[in-house]
Amino acid sequence: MSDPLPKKILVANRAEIAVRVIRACHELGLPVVAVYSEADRQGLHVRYADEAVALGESEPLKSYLDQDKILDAARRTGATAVHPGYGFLAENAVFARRCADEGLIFIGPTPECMEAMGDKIRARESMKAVGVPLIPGCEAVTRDTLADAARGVGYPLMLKASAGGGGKGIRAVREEAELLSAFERAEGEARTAFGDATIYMERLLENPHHIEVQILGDDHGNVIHLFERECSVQRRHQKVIEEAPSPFMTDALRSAMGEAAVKAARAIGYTGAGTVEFLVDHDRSFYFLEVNTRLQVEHPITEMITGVDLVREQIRVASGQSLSVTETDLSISGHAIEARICAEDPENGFLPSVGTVDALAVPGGPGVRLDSALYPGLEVSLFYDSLLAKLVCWGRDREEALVRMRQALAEFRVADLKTNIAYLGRVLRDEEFVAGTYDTGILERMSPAAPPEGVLEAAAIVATLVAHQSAGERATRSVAGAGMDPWKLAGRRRGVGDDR
Amino acid sequence: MKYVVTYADREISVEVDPRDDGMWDVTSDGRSIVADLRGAGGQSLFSLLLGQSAYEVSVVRTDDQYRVGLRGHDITLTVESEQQKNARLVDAASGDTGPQTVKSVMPGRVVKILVREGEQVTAGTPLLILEAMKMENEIRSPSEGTVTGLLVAEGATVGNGEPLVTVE
Repeated sequence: MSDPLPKKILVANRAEIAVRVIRACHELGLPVVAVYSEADRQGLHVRYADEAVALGESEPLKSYLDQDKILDAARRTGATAVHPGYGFLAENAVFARRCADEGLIFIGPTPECMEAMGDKIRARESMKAVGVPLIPGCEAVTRDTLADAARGVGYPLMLKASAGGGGKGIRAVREEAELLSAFERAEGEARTAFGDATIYMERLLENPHHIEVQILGDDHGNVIHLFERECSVQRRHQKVIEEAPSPFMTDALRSAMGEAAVKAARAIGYTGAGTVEFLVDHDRSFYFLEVNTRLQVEHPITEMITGVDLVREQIRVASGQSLSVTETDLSISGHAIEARICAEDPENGFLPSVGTVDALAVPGGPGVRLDSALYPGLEVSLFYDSLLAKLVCWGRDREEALVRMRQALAEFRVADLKTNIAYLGRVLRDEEFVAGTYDTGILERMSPAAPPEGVLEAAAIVATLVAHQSAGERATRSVAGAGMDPWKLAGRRRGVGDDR
Repeated sequence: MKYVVTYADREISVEVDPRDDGMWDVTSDGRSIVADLRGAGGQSLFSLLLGQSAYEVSVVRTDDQYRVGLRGHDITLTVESEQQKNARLVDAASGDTGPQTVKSVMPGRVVKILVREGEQVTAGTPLLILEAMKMENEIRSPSEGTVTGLLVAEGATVGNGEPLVTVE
């Protein structure tokens, strides 16, 4: 007789990942409590939930990171489990313990696992003990020991936050002259992002592949891997596009990396869904990077090629049930690519963009999956991460997934917010990406692509027509508007009355 | 009416005239065509027919630039009427480039200032570090020149569009 699933699940997150988790809960027939900040009152996760509890101010520290408010929401609604999504409290061992103290199931690994892997220096030590290959490096460095330690490790090297993750608190250093300022940047970011400024050092591999292995474990001693994800399309250590399987993979490397990932998971008694990240050199030697003790942003591509719903597995395992699949059940079916749709401006250094979604056109068709938080009227603020949606395309082979993704990106319109959609399209047309021969240097090498002649001409005509019409409107207003109340004019201009 | 559209270092002349049927007679680089532009949602999404060629187009305007999205491309253009362009050329001929103010493109906190007043910079020289969304971003100089004004201090919180540094 298997353990029952939770009666009600509180989703302690927002945006696309909260929507993703709500879908899994509803598929399992479980009611969901959403929590929301002021900025997210109209968010899709609030609309899709069965119950919703306000957390207050929009600032993350006063809402999605406020453990007291979230635990209180669980108490008030009678939720019996908490799903943290990714980010916010997902890798917070203190929060996981507090959930347990309240008799709530925390849907994720044990706090001990999180602590062992959240501290990257400790993680390196546990992996070394079980023989998982490590990048040459050294433990915590200070301003004083920095220069000596760097000479020992050798240039070029990476400075990394021991409490780090998500590409924050990381700096590459090519020569001693850059060392101190890079150290200060990394420390500053680490302190702000994680509240812990401990920095360690690793040898920098030149443009390696970033490949990760999805793992699942349960309380009954089962640990399996669900193959790899190729995550080498990165900008400043932030993943941009991921695909599964990796075009760089061989059968031998896949089974070696899968075995290493399972060994790593067993070494720390891992339960639930997790990811073992590796760097893979051009000669296909691989090195442990870190374990992410959470559901990854890019988990859907694994779901698409294995047919396993990772969120449902997480919920089963957290309830004490065993995994619904075994290693021998699994095989790779087809190919999946994910593109991260972000509110950022590729023409302006990828700075985050803010604004309101005025009009939205979303892609569809065979093999197209959209995990999204977008709706017309969404106000994108700087309070939260710039990820708006994840576009995932599946095909019977890589070529089919690729053409579907190109088509889907061309259909996808988030007007008039500045997004990276066209930039993603450029990557999908890039020669190296198309050939599948790329590594983590791909975006730096990518050359600016000129639009085809006909497209440029059409763009020029549209811009002229819009400019001409708005110039005409301005002229009309300045004549008709003489002596009129400026507030009324402002109201007319903005179309007040039919405003959302 | 005649316009000049600029894309990178390329100029395209576009003439547009309204027709009685709500469409437009357009001449682009000497080629004539009928354009039918209709709103397709909100203020910024359109359906464009150029003769028989069909496009879904988004148009975002910032200051004097238009970012046009179509067929999977984002294309940034400036549009000037012929008079505007001629006036600008007269200004440029007088040789006065004037000071340029680097503005904050998002709210954030100034973590560190990397230049001093009077320092020579080239296009791309990092001027300061602005922290926003937990990331430290380098704000770079848009052009070559001398730093003539540091308008913010380290630790200051700045809003969107706030002037940061003047480069002359």
